[in-house]
This record gives sequence, structure tokens and C-alpha cells, in this order.
Amino acid sequence: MKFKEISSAELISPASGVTITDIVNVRGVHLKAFCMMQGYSIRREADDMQMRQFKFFSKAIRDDQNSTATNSRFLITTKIIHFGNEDDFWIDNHDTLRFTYNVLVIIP
Amino acid sequence: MPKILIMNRVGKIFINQFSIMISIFTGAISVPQTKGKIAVVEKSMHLDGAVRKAWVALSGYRAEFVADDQHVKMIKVNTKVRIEQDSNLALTGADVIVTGELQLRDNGNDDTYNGSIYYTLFVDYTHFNGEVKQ
Repeated sequence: MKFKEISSAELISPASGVTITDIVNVRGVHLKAFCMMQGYSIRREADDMQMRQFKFFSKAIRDDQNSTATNSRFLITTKIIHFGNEDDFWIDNHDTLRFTYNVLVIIP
Repeated sequence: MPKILIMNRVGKIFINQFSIMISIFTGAISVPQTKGKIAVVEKSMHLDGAVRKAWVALSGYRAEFVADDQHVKMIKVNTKVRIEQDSNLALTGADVIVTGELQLRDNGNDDTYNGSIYYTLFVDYTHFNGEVKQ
């Protein structure tokens, strides 16, 4: 079993959510990887807001095209959403958010 | 089982048999009532053997304003792990310390909150199976 840790710098998003893709390379042939959240933070730049939804998830997909007989590459897609009332959803909301996230990738 | 050479603090070499494995533990950290700052809480676990590496991940969390509902400006939850063991680890074992961080605040940052952090801990753990032989 192998473990890889992904730690982000602080990300700034002009919308209510962000999707990030990280690349993890693992020596050897591995077909699967799993993600667990280690932590995250979300902070609205301007003010607070009555909340409607928090969302955080991360998943690993094997990049078959860029994997070899000696190396396996996985694309780790992390999505974080934080928005308030329904009028503020996604692209309608241009209030800046600051994010950080840490993900543990488990390769069995 | 593999033979492993361990050099202790005074330079003697012991030859012992170890079983190498990843052990998985689950646990919870209770975050007490906190106001105006990030809550940082540690939980320690002692293992009777040598720990090479440890990783921690969130299984879940709860963050709650104590008095009333509030707007949200920031929410933060994080887990870290560190290992404390001396060079005589085959005799004393190791402490694995999980740190949980939680913060929940509105614009005023003056509301009391509490919570829980549920974690899964993976430990690359070399358990000492027998007596130290000189």
C-alpha cells in the first residue's frame, strides 16, 4: 500500500467554487487509487453569508495514456463549493473566496 | 519474516525479527467550545514498536455554533499527524499524535463554536515481536 499527500497553497477563486486537478505519479503498475480528505478551509473575502451549501470531494482517475509499465499516473480532481442563498450560486456570485485543501491519496 | 538491523543510541547492533504492516485506526477528537480563534486539539496514541511513517485523513467532522445559527465567513477543518519516538524505539515504542484543527466563524468572529473531528489513521508500524538480543 502506498500513500501520497497533496497540499495546496491558498487558492483564490472569483466564484463560489473551484475544481482543481493534481497529478500523482506512482512507481509500478497500479490500477486504482482512492482519495480521503485531510482537511480544507474556505473563507469569503468580503463578508459572511447565510449558507446554503458546502461541498468538498476528491476523486482519483487513472491516466492510462500517461501510465507506463513502470509508472502509474493518476489525476486527482478536487471540487470545493461554498455558496449562500440561491441567488448567489456559482457564476452569479463574483465574491472572492480563498481555499486550501489537503488530500491523502491511497494506492492499494 | 525479514531480518532487520537496528542500531541503537550507543551504536550496538541488534538483530531482531519484525513484522512490517500498515495498521489502520479510527478515532475522534472532541473540539471544546472556542471563540474568536482556531481550535487546535491533539490526541495521542502509544504503539509498542517502531513507527516508520503515519498518515491521517478525515472520516468526517461536525462544526456547530453553540448559541444560535449564524452567517458563515470561514470554515476550516484539518488533520495532521506526527511521530514521537527516541532512538531506543525498540524498547520504548512510539507515540503517534493526531492534531485536529477546526474553525467556524462569521464576520464578527465573536461566536462560540464547538465540534468533532473523526479521523482514520494509517501507520507503517514495525511491531517488536520479541526480546532484544545483544
